[in-house]
Amino acid sequence: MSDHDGGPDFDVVLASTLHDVKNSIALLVSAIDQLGLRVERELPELAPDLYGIQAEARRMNNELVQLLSLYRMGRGEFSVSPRDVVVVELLEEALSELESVLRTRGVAVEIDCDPELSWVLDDNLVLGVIRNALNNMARYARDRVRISARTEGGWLVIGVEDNGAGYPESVLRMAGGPARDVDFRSASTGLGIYFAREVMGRHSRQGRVGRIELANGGSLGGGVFTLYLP
Amino acid sequence: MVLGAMDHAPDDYLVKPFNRNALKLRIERVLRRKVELGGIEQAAADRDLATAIAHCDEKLSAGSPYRLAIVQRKAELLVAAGEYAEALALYEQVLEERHLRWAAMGRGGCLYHLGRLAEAEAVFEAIIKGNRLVMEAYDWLARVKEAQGSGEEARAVLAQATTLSPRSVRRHRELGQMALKAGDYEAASKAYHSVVRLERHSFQRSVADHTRLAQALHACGDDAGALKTLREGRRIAGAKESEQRQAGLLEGDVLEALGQKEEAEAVRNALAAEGHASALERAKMLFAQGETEEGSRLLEGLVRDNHEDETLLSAVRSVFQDAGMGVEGDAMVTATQDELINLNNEGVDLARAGRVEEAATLFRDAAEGMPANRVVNLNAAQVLVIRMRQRGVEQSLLDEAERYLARVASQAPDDAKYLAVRRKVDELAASRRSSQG
Repeated sequence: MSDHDGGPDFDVVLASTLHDVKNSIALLVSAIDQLGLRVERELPELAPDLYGIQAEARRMNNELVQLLSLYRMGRGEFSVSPRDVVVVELLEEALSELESVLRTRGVAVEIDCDPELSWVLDDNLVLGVIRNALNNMARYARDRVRISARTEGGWLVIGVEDNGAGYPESVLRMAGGPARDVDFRSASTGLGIYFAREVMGRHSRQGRVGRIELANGGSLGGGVFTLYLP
Repeated sequence: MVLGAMDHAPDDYLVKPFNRNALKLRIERVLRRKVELGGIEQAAADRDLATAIAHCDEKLSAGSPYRLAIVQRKAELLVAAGEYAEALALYEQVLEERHLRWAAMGRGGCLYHLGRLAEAEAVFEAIIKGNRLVMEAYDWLARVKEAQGSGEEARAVLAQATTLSPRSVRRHRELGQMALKAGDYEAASKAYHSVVRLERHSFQRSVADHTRLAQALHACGDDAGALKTLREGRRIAGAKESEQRQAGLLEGDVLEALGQKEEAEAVRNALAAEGHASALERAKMLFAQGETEEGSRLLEGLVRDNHEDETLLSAVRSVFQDAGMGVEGDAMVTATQDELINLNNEGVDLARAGRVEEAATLFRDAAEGMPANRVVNLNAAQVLVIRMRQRGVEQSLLDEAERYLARVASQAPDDAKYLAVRRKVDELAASRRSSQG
């Protein structure tokens, strides 16, 4: 991809550097997990701040993962691998890494999902999308987060809601329209939404294609992030 | 690295960073899936494909949270059972609903097995176009191209795959095998170089891979490199005897090509001695296990091939003695020796009496039955020399004589009797060339 003779392929250098930084941050996140156990025991009043730092590190990690995924998509090195997934297990796994920050911030979590419900989807990718939404809500929720799943007319609908102040108008606009309308300058969540839409767009069934919707209100009155999977 | 890991088809994987809880949940998920498919997998492990397929159908009609996984498994089992048409229909049914890569891959495989090669080719090319890192699709595409008779294209596909995923030993090896078969020794040595380099620090180092590399290097004229590779290979511990033997045989050829005749002979003699020693060991074991008949047969073969090697014959006798069958052993050795001496005498007498055709038939049959017996093979070549001197030189007889001589040369290239017959055959070949010229 380099336009210059002999110079390094900058795309590749950039990607491998991102990869390296991402792994460093992953180590940081894991280290805070270990540290957190001690802090909760010995200095519990510091735990929310520590987990807040971890949530930020996780956000950085998520963004880099998404960036690298987009890079791989551009190079024809990206695939989705849908398989049968018991949905409630997926939701529990999505929550598991945020359990500490939510608990120490005093945010109550509820899961609403038929334990028998199973769907065909790429769990690793969808997990990334849900976690990204949850990670945001862990920051903005006042004291409640709800995560739910149900089927509706041949779609699996996964909803992530909180009772915070909701999404700003500029973010709401990005979720619905065509992908090129995503404005990366206007909001820090631009990349997350773009990635979520790319992932959903690669889930299709008999011509129907997955999508996300962002709204305010819902059952808790805050932000509502909804995934529609065919 | 990830590509390398994915080549091992893990049940599942987690993306960094993950915490203890996430890992625990994921392991539980994998286990639940395994339990659900347990009956199917058990039958498959017992190689009872029909039962495994029946289990799939039961699960599917009873309803399961892992419906798609069961369909996938059923299709794989149908493929394993050779029911390609039925598997193909199942894959196509899945693809009608969702575009899933495993289903496309399975469909391509069925098309290949059904001989619909052009369609299979299109499937695998489309998969690679969708994601150029799906390494399995390259393996399939190479297989399809080879079946289409395009060996060169097949090798190009595999070469491309090894560039993208350079750590797969298996794929380098496959490429090397194809290149060796096609006589493309440059490519073969490149591929086997990679195999040997990747294996260097692993537990799966193989003498055979070193021998293949040396074979390719020898064919390219790099005998010094071939020798170094062979010696490296022969140092690997715990290798199979047959592999060590092949390496030794090639080492003899390579040394000869390097002009080191004495070393070549030493290697060949050592090989023969090792071969005899291991046959004797095996016979001892068979006797100890009560497999008297098989042990005797093995030793009789050894005597047939080496009826003039007194050291070996006394070793054979003592193996019988140790097993409490000294009398039987002596009788067998003497009888076999007599049989061979009589056979050789009879042939020589026939030839002297001018019944050269009969002598030739006798030695020809004997040489086919005892390809490793030096005396018989030398006599077979000798009688052909007599025949050609009397009735004229024929190319087919020259070739036949060469074949017998080659068998002797591989064991004793400097034996005086061998060299004498060798010279006579060379003279006849030269006279034939000059009479034609």
